[in-house]
Amino acid sequence: MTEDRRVENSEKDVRRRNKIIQIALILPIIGVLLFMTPIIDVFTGSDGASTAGGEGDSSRVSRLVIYIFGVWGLLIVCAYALAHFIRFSFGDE
Amino acid sequence: MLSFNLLVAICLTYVVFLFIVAALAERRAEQNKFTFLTSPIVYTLSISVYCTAWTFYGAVGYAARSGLEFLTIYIGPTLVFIGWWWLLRRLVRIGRTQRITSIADLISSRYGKSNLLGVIVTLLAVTASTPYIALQLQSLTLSISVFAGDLDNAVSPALTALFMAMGLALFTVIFGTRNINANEQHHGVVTAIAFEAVVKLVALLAVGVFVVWGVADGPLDIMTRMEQRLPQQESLYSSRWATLIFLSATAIICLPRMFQIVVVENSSERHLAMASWAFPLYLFLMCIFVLPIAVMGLELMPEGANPDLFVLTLPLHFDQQGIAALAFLGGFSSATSMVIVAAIALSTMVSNHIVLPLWLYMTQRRDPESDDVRSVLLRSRRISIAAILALGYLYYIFTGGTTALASIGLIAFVGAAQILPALLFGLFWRQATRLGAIMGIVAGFIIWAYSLFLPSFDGSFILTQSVIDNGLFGLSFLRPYALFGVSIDDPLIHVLFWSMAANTGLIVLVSMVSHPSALERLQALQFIHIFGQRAQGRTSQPIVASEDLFILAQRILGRQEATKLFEKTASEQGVTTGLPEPTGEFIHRLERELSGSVGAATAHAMVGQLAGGEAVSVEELIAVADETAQIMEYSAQLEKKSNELTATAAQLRRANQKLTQLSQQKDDFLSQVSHELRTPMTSIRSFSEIIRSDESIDRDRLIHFSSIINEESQRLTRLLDEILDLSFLESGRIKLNLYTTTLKDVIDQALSATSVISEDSKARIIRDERLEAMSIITDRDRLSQVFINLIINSIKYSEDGPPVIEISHNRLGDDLNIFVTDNGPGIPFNEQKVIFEKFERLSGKSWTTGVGLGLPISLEIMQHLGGDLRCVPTTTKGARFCISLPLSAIGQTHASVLDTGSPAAE
Repeated sequence: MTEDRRVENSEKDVRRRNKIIQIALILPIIGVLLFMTPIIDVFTGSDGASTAGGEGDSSRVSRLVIYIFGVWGLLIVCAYALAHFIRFSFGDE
Repeated sequence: MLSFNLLVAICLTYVVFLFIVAALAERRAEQNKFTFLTSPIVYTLSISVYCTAWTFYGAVGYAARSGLEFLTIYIGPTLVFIGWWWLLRRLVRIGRTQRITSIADLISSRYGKSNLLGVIVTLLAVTASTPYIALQLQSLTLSISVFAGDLDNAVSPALTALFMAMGLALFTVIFGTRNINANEQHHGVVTAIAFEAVVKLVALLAVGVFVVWGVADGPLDIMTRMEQRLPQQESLYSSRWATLIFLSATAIICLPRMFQIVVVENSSERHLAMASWAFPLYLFLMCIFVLPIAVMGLELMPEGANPDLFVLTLPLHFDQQGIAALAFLGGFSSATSMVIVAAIALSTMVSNHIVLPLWLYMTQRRDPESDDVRSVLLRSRRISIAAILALGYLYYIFTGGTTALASIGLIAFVGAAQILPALLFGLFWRQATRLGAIMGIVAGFIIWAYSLFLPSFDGSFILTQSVIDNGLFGLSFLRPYALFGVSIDDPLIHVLFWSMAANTGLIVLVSMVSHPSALERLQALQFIHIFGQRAQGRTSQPIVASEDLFILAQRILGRQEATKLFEKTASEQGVTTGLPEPTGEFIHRLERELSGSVGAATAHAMVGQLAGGEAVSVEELIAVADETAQIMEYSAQLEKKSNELTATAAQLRRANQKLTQLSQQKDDFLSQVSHELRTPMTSIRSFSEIIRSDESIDRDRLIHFSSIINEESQRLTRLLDEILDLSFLESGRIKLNLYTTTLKDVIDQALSATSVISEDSKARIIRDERLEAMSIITDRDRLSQVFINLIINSIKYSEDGPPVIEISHNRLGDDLNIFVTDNGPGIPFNEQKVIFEKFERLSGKSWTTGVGLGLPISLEIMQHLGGDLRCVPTTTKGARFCISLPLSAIGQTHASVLDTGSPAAE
């Protein structure tokens, strides 16, 4: 009974570790995509859309700044969570 | 305005403080108090050496000139660190297991420990770092000139830069080359760098907070001003945005100083986990106030003011002396930390890959443990540090210190990026070869130098202005900024494209057509499968416990020997209780002791594993393999010997069996002899008794009895004669009376001796005339005795009708075979051998006139005559014996007659 549970737990651990590794591998790819110009345009509105009204044009730089720093901050938070889980899950390797 | 003298005083105090921090850290490291020094926080902070004066001053200038593009320089490293699981973890693990000391060492090690590659990467790194060091000197000079600008007695910028370079060289020499550490870690310097990281972050944040809330009306106000002041973001739509992110991501791996801090100075992989988020956070904080400072600088500073200096000039503009001084210190920290780490990294590469190989080659010394090498290393590192700073200074003087900081930094980035293809292919592609890496790096290096580095001197160094404008030898397709006639507007993208294309292309192509050496293949496997291997624990210093050494020694030498050795060493070292100190000398001695048991290479590898966590080198492996081969050969010999022994044992067993058998036969023989002797003795005794006691015995009976006694006596004598004869024959004491005679004589003698018995039994003898014509050299009496025995046996054992005995011959090889064939019952196959044993008679025959010694005696005779006697199978009824005689015994004159032997008529 306890043996079964231990096996189950270790299987769970392995699945959990695999998942964490996958996230660790995918995170930088997501980061690269989010910092590519076309994706930035999707979230901040391209020049073509903003030239229609003078209002959009005047907040373009702000939107870009907020977007870039926002993504940056989000990536840092994700990396922090990941590092935390990796340490939790892998122990002192 | 802050007084210039006060500024100098602040600087000096700060430097003294740095010295103290570094010295304390060194001392704590020596005492093995690593708790704080090796914490991930210090590691992360030291990585911020990435943020140099270029970041501190240059980022604001960059933002003021090109808007958001400056962010690319920090987004690239952020992505690399967030993706640490891909690359950095691998690099750190390789760095620890392979004892990598620099990026040149890494590349050289991966491609079969090629020193040529090490030299090339070192040269590339030194060249690429020169503009970067010049950038730091330039920013320091600029920042000082801000304060000294109004003074009459101010030193010239060139002189300031010179003083700075010398001061930095001094600090680096003191803390960067204090000792040759086994793993090239510099705790003092790293701690000082971490401290400087805090200073520059606090300084920039202080200026930023002051600008946002002191000068402007908070973030919203800044946002509004940003829309008007910052250039419109076209750069985001040019290829520059992505290119620069790639370039900065490359730089964080390939710049020699970044590799030094991230990989070489790393003491635990866990630190990387923290750095993966903490370093991006640091960059984030460094960048967050750059735009506000740039915007406010553009708005408030007079037209033509250098935007690179907004960080200093803005606080000064508002007469904030404290913030300005802090900002100055921040800039000072940024510049000094970069120069110090870069100088250490580059000097390690120069001394390890250029000076030391040259020195070893020149002195033919091959003893890397001797103090000589250490002093050469230390001296060469000190000289390299000075030389590297001198180069940076010269670049500064040549370029005149006028270029924008960011563009100088990017030149260095592109140069360092040339290492990336070799590095990545080395880590992930097994087929990548040394030749490919050399070709790729050299090609990239040349293109970078020709199209970006040399033109940056604006025609004052090697390349003249006309070459820059019109191409080498006036060939337009060799114009540095438009190679192959392709003009790309941005020289940075132009050179990055061509150099990377050539670099990557050559590595791939050359690797595919060239063959890696054995060492290259081995190293490639080690690098690519770095996580398949068991992690080799390596502490930050080579510490080995005496207990471990004792366990090892005990395992190999035995408990008593090991205890004796350790006790002896302990008393020599003056240690009264417990185990001796694990000094180098002791380890060396132990290794020697152990090599007596397990071989030198194995002992070295074993002790090395304990003492340095040292990876086993290929040479050691090969030596171990040699020893193994020897052991295998030895064991094969043992196996052979063991087989021989087994065979001998079997022979002995057989011999033993034979002896037992012989002993049994001897016993049988004795009992047979006594039995054979007793029978005639008994009849002699009883008949002589009758004659003596019976006085009235008549004459006829007397005669009869006497003749029986006579016969029995004769039989007794015959028996004793035969036994004597046999014993003579067997012991080899027989004397043969050899002379030439004919076989006719021999057979005649035999027939006359058996004439009585053959006449009685009406036997018919068929003789062979051609055979009998032969003359032979033999003992006639002995040979005829053989014939006699055979004839008597044939007659004795015949059953139905008169016996017919045929003598015939043939020639087989070198032997003359004489056959004596009879028409008796024959001899069963299983008894054909037995009949030659003593006292053996054919089974089922109770006939006892013979003593059973005839055939054994005949066999002995034939063997003494150099021939043989055996029973051969026949196709007809009856027994057939074959007497073999060697041809050498046959007279030459008659040899021809023997050509066709056939039995002839009587």
